[in-house]
Amino acid sequence: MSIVRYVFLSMFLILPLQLPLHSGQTRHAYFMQLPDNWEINGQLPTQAFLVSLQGLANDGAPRLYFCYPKNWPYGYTKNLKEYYEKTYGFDFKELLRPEDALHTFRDHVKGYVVWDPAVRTSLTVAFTVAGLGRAVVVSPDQIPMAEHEGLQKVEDFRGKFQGKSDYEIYTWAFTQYWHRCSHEFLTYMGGVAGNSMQPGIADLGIYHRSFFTDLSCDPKDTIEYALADKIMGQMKPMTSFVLGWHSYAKDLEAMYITLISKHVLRQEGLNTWPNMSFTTQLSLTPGFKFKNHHNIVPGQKYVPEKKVYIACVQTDGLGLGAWLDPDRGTFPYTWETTDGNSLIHAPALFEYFYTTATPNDYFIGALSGPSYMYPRAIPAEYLPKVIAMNRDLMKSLDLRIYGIMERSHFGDRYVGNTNLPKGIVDAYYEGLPEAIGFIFGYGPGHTYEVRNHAPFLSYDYYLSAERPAEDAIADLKELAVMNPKRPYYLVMHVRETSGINRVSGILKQLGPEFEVVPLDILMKMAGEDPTFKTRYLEEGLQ
Amino acid sequence: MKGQIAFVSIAAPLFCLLLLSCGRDSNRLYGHWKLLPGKSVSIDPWADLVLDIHGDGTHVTIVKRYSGGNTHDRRVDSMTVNTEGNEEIVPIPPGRWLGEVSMGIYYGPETKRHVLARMSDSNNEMHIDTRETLETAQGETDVEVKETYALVSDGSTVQLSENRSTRRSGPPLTYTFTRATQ
Repeated sequence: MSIVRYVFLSMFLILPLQLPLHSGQTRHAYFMQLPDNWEINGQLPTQAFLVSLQGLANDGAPRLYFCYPKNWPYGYTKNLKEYYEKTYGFDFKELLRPEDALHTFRDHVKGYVVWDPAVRTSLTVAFTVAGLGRAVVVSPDQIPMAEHEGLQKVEDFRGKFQGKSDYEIYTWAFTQYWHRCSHEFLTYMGGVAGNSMQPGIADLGIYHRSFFTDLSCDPKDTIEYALADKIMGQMKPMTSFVLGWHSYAKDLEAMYITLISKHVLRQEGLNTWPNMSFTTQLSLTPGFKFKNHHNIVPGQKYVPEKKVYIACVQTDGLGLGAWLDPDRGTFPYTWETTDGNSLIHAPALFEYFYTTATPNDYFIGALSGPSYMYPRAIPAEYLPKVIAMNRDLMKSLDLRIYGIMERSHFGDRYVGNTNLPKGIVDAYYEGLPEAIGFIFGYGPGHTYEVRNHAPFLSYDYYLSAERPAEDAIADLKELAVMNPKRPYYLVMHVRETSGINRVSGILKQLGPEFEVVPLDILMKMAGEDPTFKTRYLEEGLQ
Repeated sequence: MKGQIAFVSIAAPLFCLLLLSCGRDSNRLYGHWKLLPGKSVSIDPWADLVLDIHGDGTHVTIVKRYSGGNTHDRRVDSMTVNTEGNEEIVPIPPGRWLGEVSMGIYYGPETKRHVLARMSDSNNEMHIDTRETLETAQGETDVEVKETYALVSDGSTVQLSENRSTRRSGPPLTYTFTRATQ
């Protein structure tokens, strides 16, 4: 074969694989509007069926997308659908009924698994079976629908788990299925408990053939904790992912993230993260480069005045909270790219946020690791490797400031001491030499340092969504009294459910001594003229 | 006569103890009190605040129990001080300042609270003045707090008003508690 012919053939073979989905051709896909009910004796059977079908339908190509109800934690599903239409050329056709959806995607389904509405955990196990058996998840009432399409029963959990504890059920499921599941993905089907479940991320777990669970990560729940620890212990550190979220009925977020960090796994999403089996298959548009809205002009001097400089950072990552708030962009606001893994799993999602960012939206790296980790829980030999991963993500996403959070001793914004010892601060400075600053905490922190003009600041105020505005204004003014040196650098962590308009209203009433600035400008000034006291976690304190 | 002296020497201390005991019971500030959020300044992020006041006539123990969203979110601030106007020094465990846990203010490892407490003659009002040095982002700051616990006339309500030297704006820090069973 001549070289010319070889190159020509190679191009012919390779190009279609590399062609982005948005090269002018129309891509056909389907969408459905999901109802706003997630109760076992309500619409959960329908939702569970549809989400399981989505995980199967999207195997190999993005084909089925859901618009979630208005109050869903990730409020962007309608906007993202429009973005995919415009940017990726999707033409979505609406499906109205579950049976229509099953009929449309019948060829992607091999069977069905029946869960037992009397035992909630049977649904979690059914999701594992769905991934392994390419089966849709059905309640007993939905069996006729599945059989109408000629599907065969893969597994039937009716009555199987009656009277059994979660530990017994998951131990059985572990013995039965774990060896066949992907060990790169584990899905935590937690979140709300009791009569409800919100399995928004189940499609991705099924797509990846993962094991599903909501085992307790509370060390006091000794047997459930031991099994969770055992499962995570069989996953490869650094490169394996835990999808979903912990159960609000069993343990604390801090316990869940601590166990994940101990095994150096990478947490993804909440249990409600929607449409990820669809989004994960969309690449970046050709030539797209992540470009942050940096505010520091090279060569310009930033000399702080005798003022209180305040910068706002939204909590809890992109996609949650105020991104779609109509007032976004009216003043400088910082956003945490907590789902850093998404650069691998959902680059299109990151492109959406960067594309729709205003000049007042500034992105920072987060949170402790490539997604959400606690550095004190990460084994010491892994911490530099995790930070090196952060460095790569920061380069790719054009980030210069990094956010760190620590609760591995189960303190939070109410109790305990969540600060960092010097050794961990050292590790971040050494591992992220290009960083112009670090921000620490969730609730207010108390770890401060500055090296080579790069400050390590803590959040000095946490603005909850419930705090009355007049109290918040008084709190901020009181902080300015208690920190009398000027300049005073005040970084405020704003709960994602606080509206931007509310935050703006608070800032406007702080008086002329306060000045709202972008976070990178605040960091620059704090690095040049630090007025904070260096502090670390004191020895002997947890 | 000898018998009378013996009777008096036994009865008098018993009578005094009885008086003291009555005094203890008659201080209607003592008891278990629960915050009425609708009649109080916001305690966000806490959900509940319970107040226990007990004493023996010369000393009073004040316990504030804060609780949040889950069983782990519990903080207790407890101190026992004399009510005769002598300053006492009370150590405080390190951690976030309870004045407002959403602010980056901490009790350091060596924080001590200087307390001056007085009970009114009618036992219906208690004044607690405190001074403490707190850790801030910039170093340390001294804070003086004047608290007044006042029993409302019907005896079923206590109003706590707090005046903090560093808080110079915002709604008055007033809290209303209703008597509760343990």
